[in-house]
Amino acid sequence: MKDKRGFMPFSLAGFLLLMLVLAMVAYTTWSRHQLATNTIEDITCESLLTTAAGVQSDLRHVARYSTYQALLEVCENADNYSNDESRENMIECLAAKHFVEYVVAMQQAYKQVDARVELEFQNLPSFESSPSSELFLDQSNTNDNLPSFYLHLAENGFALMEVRLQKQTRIRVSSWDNRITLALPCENFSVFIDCRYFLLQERMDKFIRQFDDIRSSWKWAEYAAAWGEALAGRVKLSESRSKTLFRLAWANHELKTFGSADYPAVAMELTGLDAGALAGLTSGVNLAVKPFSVNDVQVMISYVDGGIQALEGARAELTGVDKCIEHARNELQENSSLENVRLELDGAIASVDRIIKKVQEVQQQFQQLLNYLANKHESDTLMLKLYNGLTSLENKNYPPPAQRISVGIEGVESKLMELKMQIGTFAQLIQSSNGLDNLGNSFSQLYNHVVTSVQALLAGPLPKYTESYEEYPDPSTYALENDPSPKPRNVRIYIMEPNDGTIGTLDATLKDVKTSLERMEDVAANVELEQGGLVGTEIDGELTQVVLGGLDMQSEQQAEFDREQLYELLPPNPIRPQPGISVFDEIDIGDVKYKRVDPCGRLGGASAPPTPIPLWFIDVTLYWAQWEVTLELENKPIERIFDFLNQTLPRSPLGGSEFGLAKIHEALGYRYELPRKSFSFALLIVSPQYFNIDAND
Amino acid sequence: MDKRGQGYAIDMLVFALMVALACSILIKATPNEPNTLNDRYAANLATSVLQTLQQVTAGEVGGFKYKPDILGLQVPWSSGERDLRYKTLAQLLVEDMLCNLRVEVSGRDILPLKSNQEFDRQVRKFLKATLDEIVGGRFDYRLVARTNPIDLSPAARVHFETSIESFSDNGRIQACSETILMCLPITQQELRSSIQDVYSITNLRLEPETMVEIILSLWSK
Repeated sequence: MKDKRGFMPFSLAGFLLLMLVLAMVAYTTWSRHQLATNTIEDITCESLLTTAAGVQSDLRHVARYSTYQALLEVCENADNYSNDESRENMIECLAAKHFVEYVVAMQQAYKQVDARVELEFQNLPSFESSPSSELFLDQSNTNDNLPSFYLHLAENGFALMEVRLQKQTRIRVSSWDNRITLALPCENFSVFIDCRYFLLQERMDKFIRQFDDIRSSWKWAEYAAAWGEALAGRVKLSESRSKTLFRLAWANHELKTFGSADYPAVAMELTGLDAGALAGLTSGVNLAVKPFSVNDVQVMISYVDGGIQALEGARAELTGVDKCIEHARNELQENSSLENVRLELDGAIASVDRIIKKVQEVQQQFQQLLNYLANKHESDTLMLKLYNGLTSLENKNYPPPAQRISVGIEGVESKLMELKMQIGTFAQLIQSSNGLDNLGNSFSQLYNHVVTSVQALLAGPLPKYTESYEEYPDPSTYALENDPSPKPRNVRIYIMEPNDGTIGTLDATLKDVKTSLERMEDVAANVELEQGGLVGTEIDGELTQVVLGGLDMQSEQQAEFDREQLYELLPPNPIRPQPGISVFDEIDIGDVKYKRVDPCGRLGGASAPPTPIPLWFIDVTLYWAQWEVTLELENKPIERIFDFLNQTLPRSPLGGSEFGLAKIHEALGYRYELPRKSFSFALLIVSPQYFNIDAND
Repeated sequence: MDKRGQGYAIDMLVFALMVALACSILIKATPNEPNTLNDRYAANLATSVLQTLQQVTAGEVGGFKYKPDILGLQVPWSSGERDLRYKTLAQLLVEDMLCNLRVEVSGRDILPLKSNQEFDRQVRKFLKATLDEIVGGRFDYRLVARTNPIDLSPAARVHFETSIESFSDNGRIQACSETILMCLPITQQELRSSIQDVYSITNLRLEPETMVEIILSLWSK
């Protein structure tokens, strides 16, 4: 250790070590500072982005409330717009207008609350007060400085508002030290509107488009009630009942269109109207609306036609008999062989046999008609009447059609049998004879007899009994401008006893029956035509159940509220869960007028008996009464529907004053004032039973 | 010990002193990283939660319904229930304020005092359940939403404030606090006319800042 070269004291080494540590720490501190600076910048950037995203979200938020406001304003008077497009345009314009109001306030608000945020709306006009709606409504206005709103249909009838702001609209956010500035473009965005404006609009359009269904349902209900009364023997049209039925028909149309109806109103109003009318609608009285059908009558006519055709066949065969006898006479005159004469006579006998069969077929056809009626008359009053009319002898000076046919056929058969016997006798005479010489006289007698018999069987009918009666026009031929007075008519009976039976009298009798059935068919067709529009218009049983379900109306509690205001706050639960719409309506029913228009009604007034339609040849009388029923509304009816499932719009209840600044969520209400004030239809009753008519209330 | 020995001893002592000094500097300079990371995570979480409130609808977190009790009326044919499933959570909070704005004079509410309290109750319950699920596992939280007071006069103002929290603050150090602003969806005109109609206050000059502050503060558990 004597040599001190290369020696370094420990203190120097320690100093160097200290210097090294200090350098390391300095470096570490510097790098940490750098890291912290970078982190702060990162956080600042993130914070700026979050703030900008928040402002963007706030703009959406404001656009949504602007749309809420526009929807509320437009839907309050939805009928002010001629079509959906103009209504939607107005919503878009008002939403844009409210948005501008909010945005102007927002710009100032952000400046005062958070100076870092700046909303840059390029060239947004400054408004001293609320901007005018006309500015936004003017279609020719191509002002790019105003935001544009476009309303679109979203799923399930919801709405989507597309917002297009002015070009170069920016959200500018700066850091507190102004070192970092973020400018986020915000030109277009869409906002989901959580109420089903399009569903309400579409359903209301449908309600208006199919508005005539109310009249049809009302007509159906009046028919069901009046026909039921006619079957019971006394018809009385009542204003109270008509009002009830009309109210129900209106609610029925609501139920079909909206899945609900203003049932609390109907239930309340029924307490002052004729609730008894409802009971009838739920007990299957609608069956009475079909007293007889065209089909039934056509089946009956087909049997009669079958008889007439059989008689046509008999008539043709009878001409054939005549010809055979004529040929036989020619053979005799030409001294031809006996065999030829005999063949002609056999041909005549075969023809007579066929005629007898044809005549028996008439009997069968008529019997089938009677069987048809007999099968139905247990469940059908008209069929019973018809059956009795065709078969019963009661209180008549002449036999009924069934007996006339039967007696007539008996007579024809006996005449034909006699004819056959005489021809047959002569044929046997020929067989036992050796030559034609001795037969001339006998054949002349036969020939004369056959010709006379055939002529008698084919001759036009002669009346055996005549009767007169008065006949009014029937619904199938009657028009209001026609003279309603009855016209005299004569009817004739051709068969009173078997001897009256000929092909001609049978044919005339069947044709008379057919005429009466055809008249009945015309009346039935007219009734069916009148009722044709009633198919599918029945009052829904679900509705009557709800209305008759004994709603507790709690009238005392509600007295302080206007009904419409109450519905705004507490819309009724929809009858059907889908589509989930509540309904309010306001209908002031005025007068109901009934004008008798059938001939007897026109001549005799409101309580005149029904007009008889005698179907003389089948001994049935139909009774016909007809009214023009007209109902007037006092004011234009109001229909309002609420999006029950989405009560999402914050509003001041009842306009505010009682509730301070408080708000609750209400449903969007689509309110429509309907133009139609008058409803009318023809009420036609045709019954096989007589009924009285009471004067209206 | 001769002089050289003393020199060596002093040299060793100085060396030891230098080493000790270097060690203490190193120890002092060691960063306390875990806290920093935790606070940053908390700040990010708070920001995300606030964005979630603005984006997520009530329907996505179980749905939200309430029956207003403000009317004091029940009708047998109406359930009265409101289903607000399409509203975002922030929207619910803002509408809670909108539906329950109060007018206060000298610190006391003035009549009429009716408010949509059931809505307020249900919103707070709903948001608490949601926040418990999102942040409750790792942090305690407090969500405050308040309107900037809208002065009607030096003594009177319109305001509303609500808070939802998961704990009682026992003086612990807050990890972070984040704020978003939202517009209160009521126009000046509407607010002015409402106040004038209800409270007969004339010559109102309202400032435009009808803004809502939503502040989320987090505390480590």
